[in-house]
Amino acid sequence: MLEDGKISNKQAVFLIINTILATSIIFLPSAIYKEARQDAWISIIPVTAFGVVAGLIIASLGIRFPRRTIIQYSGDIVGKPLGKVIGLIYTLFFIYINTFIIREIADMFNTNFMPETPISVFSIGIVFAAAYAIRSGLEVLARMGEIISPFVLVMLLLIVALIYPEIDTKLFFPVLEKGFIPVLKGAYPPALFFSETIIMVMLIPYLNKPSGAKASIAKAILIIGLFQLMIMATVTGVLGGLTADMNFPTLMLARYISLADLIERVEPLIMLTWIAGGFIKISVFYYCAVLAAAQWLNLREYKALVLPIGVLLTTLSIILWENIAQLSEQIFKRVPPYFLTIEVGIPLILLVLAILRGKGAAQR
Amino acid sequence: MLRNFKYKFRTWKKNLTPNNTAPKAGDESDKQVLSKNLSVNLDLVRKKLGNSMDLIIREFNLGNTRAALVCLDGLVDKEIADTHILQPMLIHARMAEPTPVKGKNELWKFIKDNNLSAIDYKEVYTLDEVLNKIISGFTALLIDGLAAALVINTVGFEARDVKEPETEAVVRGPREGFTERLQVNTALLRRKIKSPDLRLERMTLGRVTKTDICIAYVQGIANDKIVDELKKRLQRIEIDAVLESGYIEAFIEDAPFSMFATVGNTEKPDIAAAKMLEGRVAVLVDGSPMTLTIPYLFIETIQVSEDYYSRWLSGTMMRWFRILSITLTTQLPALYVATVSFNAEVLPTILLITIAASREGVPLPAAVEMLFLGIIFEILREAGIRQPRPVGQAVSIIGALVIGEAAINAGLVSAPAVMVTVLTGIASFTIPAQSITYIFIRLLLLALAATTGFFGLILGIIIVLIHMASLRSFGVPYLSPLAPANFGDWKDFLFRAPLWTMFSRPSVIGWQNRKRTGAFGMPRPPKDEEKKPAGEGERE
Repeated sequence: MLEDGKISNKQAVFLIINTILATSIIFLPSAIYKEARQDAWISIIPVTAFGVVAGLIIASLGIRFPRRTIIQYSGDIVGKPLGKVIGLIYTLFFIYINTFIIREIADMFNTNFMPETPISVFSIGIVFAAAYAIRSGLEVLARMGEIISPFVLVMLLLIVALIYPEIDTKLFFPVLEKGFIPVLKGAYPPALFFSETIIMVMLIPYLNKPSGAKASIAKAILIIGLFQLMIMATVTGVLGGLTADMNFPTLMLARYISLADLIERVEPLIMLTWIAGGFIKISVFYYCAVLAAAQWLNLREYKALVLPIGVLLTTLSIILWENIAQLSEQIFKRVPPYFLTIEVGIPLILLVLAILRGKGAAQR
Repeated sequence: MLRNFKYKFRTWKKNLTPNNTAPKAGDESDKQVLSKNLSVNLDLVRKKLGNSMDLIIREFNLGNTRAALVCLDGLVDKEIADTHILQPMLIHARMAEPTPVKGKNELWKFIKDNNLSAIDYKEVYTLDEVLNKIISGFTALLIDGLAAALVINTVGFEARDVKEPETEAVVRGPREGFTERLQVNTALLRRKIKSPDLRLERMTLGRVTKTDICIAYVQGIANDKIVDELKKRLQRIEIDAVLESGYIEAFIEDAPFSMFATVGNTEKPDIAAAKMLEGRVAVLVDGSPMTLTIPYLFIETIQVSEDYYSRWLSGTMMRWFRILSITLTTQLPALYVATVSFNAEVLPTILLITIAASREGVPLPAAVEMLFLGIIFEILREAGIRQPRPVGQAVSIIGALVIGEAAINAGLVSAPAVMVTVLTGIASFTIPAQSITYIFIRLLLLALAATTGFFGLILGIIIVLIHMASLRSFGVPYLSPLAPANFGDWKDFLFRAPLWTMFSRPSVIGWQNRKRTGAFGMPRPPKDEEKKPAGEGERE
């Protein structure tokens, strides 16, 4: 086996939470607010439900093949040639989506803290750290998730607790001014993030208890939904209409914090936590890409692929977009249909086919 | 060509091996059996030891048989040798007539059964064994006409007393420390753990030094797999000398290139006993008071014996300060540099102005200043440790004056930088176990922060954490119970929970036998009136 480590289901929950929350907290509020205005917080509820359903599809598919990844079992379901195509799609998807994430994190630090430093420094730095983690194996990655995730969650709670006095409840009214349509429209951009549980198609085989994958994914998505709801409501309550025009509304939230002239300018602390969270997210997708590529190529070791894919990730993340606005435009307008097809569509089709053809679970 | 080179290298290496140059100790040729002739035997011993100046050979008559006692001066307790070995035999020689002894074998049996008043002796048949025993302080009895020898334990050399170790000073708790003598050390452990399950297994390591080492663990609590793995690693060791437990540590540790130690050491029996009762295994080495304990995890750096001896609240509190110290000593200089040279806007305005004012006219950039001061601090510290104590104090005073006062007055460094360095250094003193490790981390983070500010700092911390997460000590993850998280074990991590709540041993190590305390151990005041102590009752 390429990876002989095992991670516990609890570690998987932490990894999923961190993977989804790390960037969604930063980028989603303004994207949702643009569509749903003051009802943005309601949009989180349908999207969480969607996330749970997507997660259950992915988990059911994975549980049918408890010791193999999607790269390995897709050939069983749809035949070898088509299976290879699906494997390639996922390998490239894991690389492509990661370039977005790397650029987001690097850009966030660059524009807010060190505008004079070239962005490549941040891309290279964080990919280097991720490469080191991946070379150390999945177990180490899972342990890092366990250390960093609680910090991310605590930091979010801290922001909300400190900014609480600034919330203006008037900004939430009128509720459902234009009916449910804007709310559902607002649920569209986050759907992409909430179905990032797609990482589990690569990780379920390495769980201690693959059969517990459904519960783990559902638990993780519910916690994410809760935090997302909390942040969305806070952002709306504090910034109101400004939210739509900001690139990083949550960071702005941190800038508003001022407690007795003593606790001020806490955003570097929060920034550091997000870099750490972003590191986990990048590492997870990076790991999935490397593992998928190694399995697709039938390699015995995945470590040889860490460096080439790392170079690819860094380069692409720098050259694909001119600036963050272009990236936002692309991630919320152009790619969602394709990404959602890969994240939910293909697993659903595979699951239906597997059930119809009696593959997987029947073999047990 | 490469093959040719390889061949040359191999022959060159072969020439280097001691086999071809000089006969090494413990070679096959030493498995020589003893001769029946006493003088031949004695000659062999003399020859083998090279007529050493401390060799004592006392020949005497046992009835009408020639016999000899052989030992090394200084290693034996001569009192024992005289009164318990030589004296009875000389008396026997005079009274040989009343007991009819026929033949050499009867004489041999008679000496063993009726004559020798020593508790520990052994019968050996080869020259090698005789020599080995003599070298460790035994006395050998050789009798003419018998191809055997009796080696009698008369070990009695000068050794240091049991004293309070200077490295692990405590305010509350036992003061005694291990000594250089293995027997004393094992006895100290026995006195702590009076259980027949305490296992002390002997091994001899070191081709030339033949050092005794002892593997100590509590059967039924220690993890068998860890014990076996340790023995396997110890048996693999091939070295000529073991002068300190560090020699062994270097051969059994999991990550020889890591900056983190994966084998612990202690100088105190109570700490060693506590670790063994958690399921760890100790390795005692003759000639060194430093006892190794394995597996060694990161949390052990913040666990101090006094945490458990004092009340739980103060134990917890001190533990938090130790964690804070680790954070400060590794990250403070980097944080200062990242703030001052990259993102000064995060500081409150007044503090920013103060720092900027004191940095006015300082020629060095903050990073170089920090590095410069850090290096001077470490040099001063090393000088203070190596010098005799009175000189060491002088070094500290001069250092403090030169760095603290003169450098600031001369405008070479700024006052905040000195404060940061001093705080960093003092914080490192709270965690003596791995303070050198933290210097490495500090320098790494400082370099990263100096180049890319906060981003480099957080990246550095992540890289160090990845490294720690990837370490294992004898199969146990180095960062447990933090990662992999095991909340049951957190009772003894960020908190030092009251002893009566720590029902079970740490699960990663002591999983064989979890039960530690009873379930309802919380102390309560007595409920009924009668049980109240006299004088505490209601006064009317």
